[in-house]
Amino acid sequence: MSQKDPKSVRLSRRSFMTHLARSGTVLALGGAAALALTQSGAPQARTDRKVWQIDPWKCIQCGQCATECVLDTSAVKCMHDFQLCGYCDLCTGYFRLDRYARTTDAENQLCPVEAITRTLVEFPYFEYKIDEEKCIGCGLCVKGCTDLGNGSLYLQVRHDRCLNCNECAIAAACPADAFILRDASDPYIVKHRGPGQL
Amino acid sequence: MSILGRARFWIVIGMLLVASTLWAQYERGDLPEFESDYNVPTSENPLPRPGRLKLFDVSTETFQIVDVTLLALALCTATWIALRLRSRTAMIVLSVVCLAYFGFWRGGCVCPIGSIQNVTRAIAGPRDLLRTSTADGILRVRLEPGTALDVDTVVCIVEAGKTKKEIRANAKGTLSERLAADGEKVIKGTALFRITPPADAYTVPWTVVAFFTLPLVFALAVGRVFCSGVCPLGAIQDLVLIKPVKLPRWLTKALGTLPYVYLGLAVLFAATNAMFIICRYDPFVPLFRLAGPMGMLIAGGLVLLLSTFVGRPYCRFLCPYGALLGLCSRVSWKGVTITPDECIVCGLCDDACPFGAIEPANVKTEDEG
Repeated sequence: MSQKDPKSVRLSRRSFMTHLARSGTVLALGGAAALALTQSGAPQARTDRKVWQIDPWKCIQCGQCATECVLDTSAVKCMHDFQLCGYCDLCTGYFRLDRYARTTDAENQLCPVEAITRTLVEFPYFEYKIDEEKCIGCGLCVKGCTDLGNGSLYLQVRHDRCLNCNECAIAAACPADAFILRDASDPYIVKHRGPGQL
Repeated sequence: MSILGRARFWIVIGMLLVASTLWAQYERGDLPEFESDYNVPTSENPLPRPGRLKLFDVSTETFQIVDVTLLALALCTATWIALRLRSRTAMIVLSVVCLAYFGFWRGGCVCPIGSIQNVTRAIAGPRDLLRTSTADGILRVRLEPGTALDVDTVVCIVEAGKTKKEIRANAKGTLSERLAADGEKVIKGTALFRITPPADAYTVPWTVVAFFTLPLVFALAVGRVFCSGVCPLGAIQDLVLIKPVKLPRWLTKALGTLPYVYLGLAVLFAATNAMFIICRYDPFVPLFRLAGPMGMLIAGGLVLLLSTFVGRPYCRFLCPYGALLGLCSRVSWKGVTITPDECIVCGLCDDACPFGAIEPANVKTEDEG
């Protein structure tokens, strides 16, 4: 019994190496997890999730938000900051300017899906509302409103639709680098608060 | 004009300039003063949702806890099925449940395969401490705490004799604290400054770290139970497998090196902040969501077609996380093994395994590890 079987000696060395490799992997895993979690200084930055959002001050309304999203209908929708709106009669986000007749017929509207409804508040002020179910996020109205109006219409990632992919497909395609990461607790940019808010 | 008057003149001009540029940036018209009792509406801001269907009115933060708990529970169940119950039917049932939840309902996100990139990016990302990376020397501080930093901002200079080395911030952020004084002698590795990252800096959520580590820990303990019972990508390939074809061993060996290449590329691309390739070229996530780029939908369909006669092609020949799990399971504490004393080397198991996991040579020489 005192004489050790040479085969069992070989086996025990092998299991020793296995134990060593296993503990090494456990340590490496723990280290990697700790490094990843402590990468950012502030503790609240580690717990708060980040979500994608469009910085309206950088957006150039190129229209790719409508087509690049991995969802069938883009998670990017037009948002209306009523505090900024001029309630114009001749809304350059609503009417096509290359038409003679200024009626609310479909062919005179900028929106390709008729997602904007125009209602009279009191003459000469009109309220424009976006129907998010219809909106495809093409940004045509945003371009019209930003170029010639107040810029109260602007594109935002709607977080009841956004899947918050690791790598946002629109962000990868965005020519203006307008996609930013924001804290999930405060995911929207309210435009009338002014530029530079994060 | 007196000095006071001149100063006042320029102050007024300056204020007008500032006011006009600020105003021009974002206000071209005013909110009308309505005479009727019209209330200016506020925009609705829907909060992040937990899954594809709006079934529950629960915050995403709660659902993160549910996700991790379900993952841990599923891993425990898979372990129990693999080691105690030893039932393939039970494992299929579990994987169908996981396919339904992690795959179709959660849309394939969060997933451990992609989490490799998040963890890599977090580790490779800028740290909050700026250290001397070059030579030893005397510190000459350029900037005060509170300064906004860009990638190539020179924060300080380290003087060693005649040579002066500029130390750059290498990251965006704000200089929040000075840890070494001006004129102090510093050696390589001394922490000089604490940097607060900008608000939009990348941080890895704790759920993603949990999704990365949990299956690996289980693989170290009991082998790849994540692959067999929990992974939705594996489950969808298993379900469509009709008639497995045995691939020649040289082919499986050759293709089996691809996951390591893919893993290397994924880590490289994530660390350099170039692309999240695993997510962009995931063949099944577009199928789970029933939406996505047409190319990826077709690719997913082709992989599914391939998996009707080749067992789990994605897992065996592409999955980078499978490569990591495989390395871990090599040194696992327990696992499913062939008992050499009872084996009669009939070769039935080798024939039956659709994934070519049992090598005929191993049947003879396998010993308990």
